[in-house]
Amino acid sequence: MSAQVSDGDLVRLARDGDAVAFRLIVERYQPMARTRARRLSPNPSDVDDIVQESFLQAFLALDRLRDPDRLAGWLAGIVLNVCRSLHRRDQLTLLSDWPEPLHPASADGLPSAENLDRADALRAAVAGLPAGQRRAVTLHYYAGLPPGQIAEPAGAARASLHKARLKLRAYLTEHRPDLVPDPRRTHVTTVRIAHAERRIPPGPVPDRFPTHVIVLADDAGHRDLPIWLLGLDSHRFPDLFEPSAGAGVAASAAAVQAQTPDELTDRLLRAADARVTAVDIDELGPEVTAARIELTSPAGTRRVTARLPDGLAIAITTGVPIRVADAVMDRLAVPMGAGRAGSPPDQTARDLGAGYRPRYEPRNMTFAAGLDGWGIGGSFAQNATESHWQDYSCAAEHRVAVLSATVARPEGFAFLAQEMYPDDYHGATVVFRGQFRVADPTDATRAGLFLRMRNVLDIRGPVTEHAVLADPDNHIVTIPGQPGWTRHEVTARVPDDTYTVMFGIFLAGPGRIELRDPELTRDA
Amino acid sequence: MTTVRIAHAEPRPGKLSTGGFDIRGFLVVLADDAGHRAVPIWMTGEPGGGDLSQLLGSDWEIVTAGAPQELTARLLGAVNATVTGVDIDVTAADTTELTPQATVARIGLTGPAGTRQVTAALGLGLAMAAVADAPVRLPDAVMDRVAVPVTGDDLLTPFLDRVPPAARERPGRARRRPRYEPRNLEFTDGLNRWDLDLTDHQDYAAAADGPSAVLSSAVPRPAGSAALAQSIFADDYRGATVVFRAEVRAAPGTEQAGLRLEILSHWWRTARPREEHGVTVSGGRAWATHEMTALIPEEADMIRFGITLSGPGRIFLRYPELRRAGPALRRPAPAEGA
Repeated sequence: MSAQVSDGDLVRLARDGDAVAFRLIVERYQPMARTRARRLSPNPSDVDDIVQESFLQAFLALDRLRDPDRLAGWLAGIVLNVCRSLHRRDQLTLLSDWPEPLHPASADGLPSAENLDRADALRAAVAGLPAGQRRAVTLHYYAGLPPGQIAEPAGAARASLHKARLKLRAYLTEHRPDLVPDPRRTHVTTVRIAHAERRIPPGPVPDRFPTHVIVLADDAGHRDLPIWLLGLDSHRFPDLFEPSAGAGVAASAAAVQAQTPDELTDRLLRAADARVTAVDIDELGPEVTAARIELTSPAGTRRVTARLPDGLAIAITTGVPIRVADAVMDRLAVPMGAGRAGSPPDQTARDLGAGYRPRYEPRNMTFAAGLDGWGIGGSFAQNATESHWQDYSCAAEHRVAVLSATVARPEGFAFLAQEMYPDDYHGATVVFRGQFRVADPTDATRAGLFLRMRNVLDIRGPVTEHAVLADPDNHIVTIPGQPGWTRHEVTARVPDDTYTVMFGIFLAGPGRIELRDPELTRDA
Repeated sequence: MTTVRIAHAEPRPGKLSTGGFDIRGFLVVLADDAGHRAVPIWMTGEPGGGDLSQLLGSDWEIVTAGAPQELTARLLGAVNATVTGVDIDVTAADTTELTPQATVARIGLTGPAGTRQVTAALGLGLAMAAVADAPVRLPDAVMDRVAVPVTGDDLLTPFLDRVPPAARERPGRARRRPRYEPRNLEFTDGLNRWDLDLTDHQDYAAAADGPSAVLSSAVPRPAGSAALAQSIFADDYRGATVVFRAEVRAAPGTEQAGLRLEILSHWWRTARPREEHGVTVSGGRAWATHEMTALIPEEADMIRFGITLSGPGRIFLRYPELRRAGPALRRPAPAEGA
């Protein structure tokens, strides 16, 4: 039941400049890269260099990865090529200039504008290096020589390369900070966890709406950063504020039995002579909600990326400070206490007040009762913050339901659907049909109708469009943007273990989709 | 020490025949493959026992990715520490069965600080071992007492009797999802839609008998109590007064029996999660009509009505009726299109 972001999504986010995403890639695949480097390289002391070099090349060439979902294989290929390059003996060519950026030897195709831009920045940085380091970089990174062939002994070359990398990083940090995903240079605000509470989300209530929010307070700035907890995480936090009988280092039988996983983690780290010293939140982007757990041990300081709720739980358990990037606070924080005031929007109040749940048959199929029985949801609402919760909206009038984007570049996708208990349909084939119209589409718009057979264990992590399309429980028909109404239908069998059936329309990207005269029938 | 592997961590009752799902605990089986033995452990899934559900994939295979202990392992790895093994020890010398309460796990660590052991609850220890791919070990003397010889590859079925009755799905008594209106009030479809709820042991039984239902004790001195009741969603009754009316008869010698009406409220409005109304019926009397009235609040989730029995005896129910008596109600939008 992993809640991991897919490789493809991480690649896409990293390409868009999401620094956290690339760090997640590195952490996810560093063990693989090390294992592969260890196996391919005859010299164990080269492993660190190979891994570092591989990820540097991956970072610079990310735009060339044609299929983001095949990241693992692509990275493995880079490691292989870096290893080959390191041990090559017949290409001792000193390049006098650099017509293209560093890239994997196996990559093909023309460099993108972004890569050329990165190459320019890197070239300028290398040009500013002391002569010895510049030579080492040239021979190693561009001519593919191993350190042993750059200078004697090899360690001297490695030292030179290490110093060069530090200088390159410093240069890029100053001149092109967008190429340097380093959290340590980020300005941060230290916040405290004020409380966790049940809260009514801003409406309309999305599907599987979050019910709990954890509030990070910036007392000096008089602002709060509310973080919504999705899915099972909402059940985890209220208890964390009450130290369990297992908190601390006590080891009585009762204390041991009462210990939470986070308390055990703390005790294991202490036994290893390490401490959690801080939890950093560098970014809170859609589908990339990660925290960085800072560890201190005699060997130094390390940072480990974790799911945001896991990082917060560790912070609560260990009592360490939480540091949030100023950019995140500036973008997402609200005036202190603002989230608790006011009444919920109408639809939210109605849905929650009625304790909405499915019926055993389709209802309100003419929209005579507005959107009663219909709900909006989708990946746009599956975020820890409210920043994109208004990217889509829905309405019904004149017997037509409309799902539309409210911004030019809405986040993720949305659906407007009805959910129904399928007890009277188990084993049957059902057809969802209606008349549809897709308006104001762009090249980025995808819209259509769907049937979803939902399992009782259908509790998933962040939902992405890719994951939705790949899910065999979804039956989807895409509708091209064209003037006028067109009829479409989608058919699916209702397996006996289906918990609920969902049917409705979806929209990803700008524009809107309209629905009228929907029907859900048994297929004769 | 004997090294074992975690062969099963099965949620029970797990997936229900009604399509639902319920976890009241886990049947964990540790396998000593070399010794052709296995150790079954029933774990209730309470916090100290370690919520093993986070280790389970969609097909109940053990999946470590995403489990909380995966982060623990990564944090330890970042400081060059690793879990070397998890030793299970009993806290009572004469234990003949492993239980979370009588067991501790000692998680072995090695790292720059040397070798350490950290004591944890059994569930957390097993989860840590699974994630870290570390061996699980038991003292030979304990194994000799608690392990069961096994033949063949099936390490689950032989131990299903370790699952307590309360965590089993009772054949033929599968609880179905409530509807929005009472059904089968004349028992023409047997006890379909009526649930037999037992507080403890299976010392009670229920059956349909013509237009009646009967709830009776199955042993001379039954433990706990029982209810034969039907649950419906409260949505269409909120704001109204409902009347539960039925004819009831208790057999001579029946100690505590009665008619019951309960209103259960939504979990997110837990100020008064359950409201109960009841009348007690004396044994040995003829059929008598009883009724009770209740206002269904806006936060009501379900309405449950039926008969109860505590102790020896028998109670009969016929012509049950649940109707609105209060103000006009919000009615759901009419069904269309099906």
